[in-house]
This record gives sequence, C-alpha cells and structure tokens, in this order.
Amino acid sequence: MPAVSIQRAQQLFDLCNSRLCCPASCPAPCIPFLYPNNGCWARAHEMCRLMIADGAQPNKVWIDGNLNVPSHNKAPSTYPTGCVVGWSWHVAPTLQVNTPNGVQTWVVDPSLFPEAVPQTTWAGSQGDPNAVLTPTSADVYYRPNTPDPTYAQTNADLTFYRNVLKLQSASSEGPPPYLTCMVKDPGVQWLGSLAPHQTMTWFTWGWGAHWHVFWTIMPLTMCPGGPQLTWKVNVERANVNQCTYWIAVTNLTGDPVNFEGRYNVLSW
Amino acid sequence: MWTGVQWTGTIPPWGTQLWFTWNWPSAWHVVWYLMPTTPKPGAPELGWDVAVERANATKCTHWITVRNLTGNQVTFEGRFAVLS
Repeated sequence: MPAVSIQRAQQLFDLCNSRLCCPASCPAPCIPFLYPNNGCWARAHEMCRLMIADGAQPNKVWIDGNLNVPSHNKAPSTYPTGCVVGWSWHVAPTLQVNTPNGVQTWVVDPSLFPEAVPQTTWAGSQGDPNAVLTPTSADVYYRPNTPDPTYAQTNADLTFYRNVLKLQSASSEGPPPYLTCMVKDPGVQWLGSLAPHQTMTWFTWGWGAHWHVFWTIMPLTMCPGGPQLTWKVNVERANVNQCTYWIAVTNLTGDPVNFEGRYNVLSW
Repeated sequence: MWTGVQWTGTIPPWGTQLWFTWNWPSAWHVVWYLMPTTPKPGAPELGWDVAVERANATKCTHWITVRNLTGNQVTFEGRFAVLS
C-alpha cells in the first residue's frame, strides 16, 4: 500500500469533507457527517469510494470499546442524553502517510475531526484507553465480512441517515451544532438561531462610547454552496459614557441557521 | 490585526456585482471594505454589503456585494482586515 504525503492526505480529507450535508436539506449524494450518532460504516464506505476514484488506496480501521466522544453535533435529546456520542464501535477510512516520524496510519473522519489525523489521535479521542483497533481492507462494508461492491447498501444506508438528520434538524432542537453543547469563545458576545429567511435584531448595552467596536457574524451551521447570513449594525448613544449596539441579522437561506455574534474592540 | 487587498475590481455605472472569496479560517474575525481607485470627488462612489457562508468546521466563504452609486465605471480595491 503506497504511502501518501501529509498534503495528499489532507487533500483526500477535503475531498470527502466537501460532500458534507447541509443538515436541514441533505441533498443526495451528500454525506451526513453532522449526524455522528450512527451510520459511520456507510460514511466510511462512501469516503473510500471517493478516495479510490481519486486514485488513492485507503483501508479502514474499526474501533471497539466503551466509546464516548463529546460532539456539538449530537442532539442533546437523543440517546444517551447530553452532548456526548456513545458508541460500542466506530469505523473510518485510513491512509498510510509519510510523516517526519516515518510512515504512519492516519484516519479520515470528518464526523470527529476537521483534518486527517494520526490513528493514535483518532483512537485517543474516543474515551476508552482499552479500546481495540482492527484494521481491514476498504472492501469490508460491515463486519465480520459483508462487502458492498456496488455501493447499493451504502446508498440505502446514507439515504436513511440523511433523512434522520433532516428530521432531527426539523425538530424543536433545530440543526446542529447545538448551542447548549457549546461555550462562547473569546470575542463572541452571543450565540443565536434564525429560522429560514428570518431577520432578528439583537441589542447589547453598556459598551464604552469611546471604544471603537466592530461586529461580525459567523454561521455555525455548516452548509456549503451560498451565503447564509448578512447583518446590519445600528448604534444608540445611551448616555455620556455608554452606547447600545443593535445588530440585525438576516438568514438568506431556506434552512435554519445557528450563528455566533462576534465583536472586536479596535481601540479603547 | 493585519490588513490586505484581496482583489481589484471594476464595476459598471449603477451596477451591482457579487464577489466571493473562500477558504478563510472561520475562527478569524474578518471585516471587509472597499476603496475606489477611480477619483470622483463630490459624492460617494461605492456601497457594499457582506454575507458569510460556513463551508465546513474550520473554513468559511465571504460574499461581498458591491454597488456603484455613480453613472461612471469605477475600479476599486476589495480590502480586508483580520481583527483576531
């Protein structure tokens, strides 16, 4: 099995990750990475198909154990309740990668990581130091040895989990990521949600009127293909020392979008 | 903070055009603004709006709509500042 460079591994990761499903619409043939609860074997097989079509030779690694992975993308109401995915096993594609430390096995798993990572990192993130890793060829669709050479079962399973993600996104919890599973990073004033095509105004008071403040918005709900959010900022002088910012955020899409409202103080 | 010019553009009289620029780290706080390079004293030349798309867990695409407020063709710089 020829080893690839780290850059090529990331290129193959990006190839797979570019098929990410917008959670509320999930148009085929997207891959429902944002539904981490279940269906990893179908995601892994589809990723292997994409990488093989691109000239790569991936394998797979299966992990068995009492696996617990914190995820912003797990609906808190789903079993087990909370923001941690619970698995007894999991699977993802692997690549042999040339690194400064020699040839290593790296894992392509956009449901857990934003980039290709060493297998040790991948396994170490799953909360069970006694977990057992089993490598197989890419041909194994489902253990112990069920193949899916035509990808018919892969497509059927991906269709099922796309629909699960769509249904979950249409529920009262909305689409991932789930704001109750997140903490605000520095420079984030608030976390918000907008319904399809909705405009809502947020206000935030008590800011120093002599501060120079910029406001920006960043969607948290991933949906490649077009602009999702735009915003306008207005300001009110509340008193001699303080002002209130009013930020109107517009959802340009037909899907719900979660976002963060960010600020930067350019001078004090 | 650092600043830069992402692109140079030309927009026809009274035109509205959309530019997009992808693969920006979503963790960066980025603001966008324009500067006409076609002098035309007496009135504003350009207006703009910004929208953003979250492409994946770590990257985003910025969409900048530019409006020419004059009856003349205007060339401009599309500028950015990474605030943090």
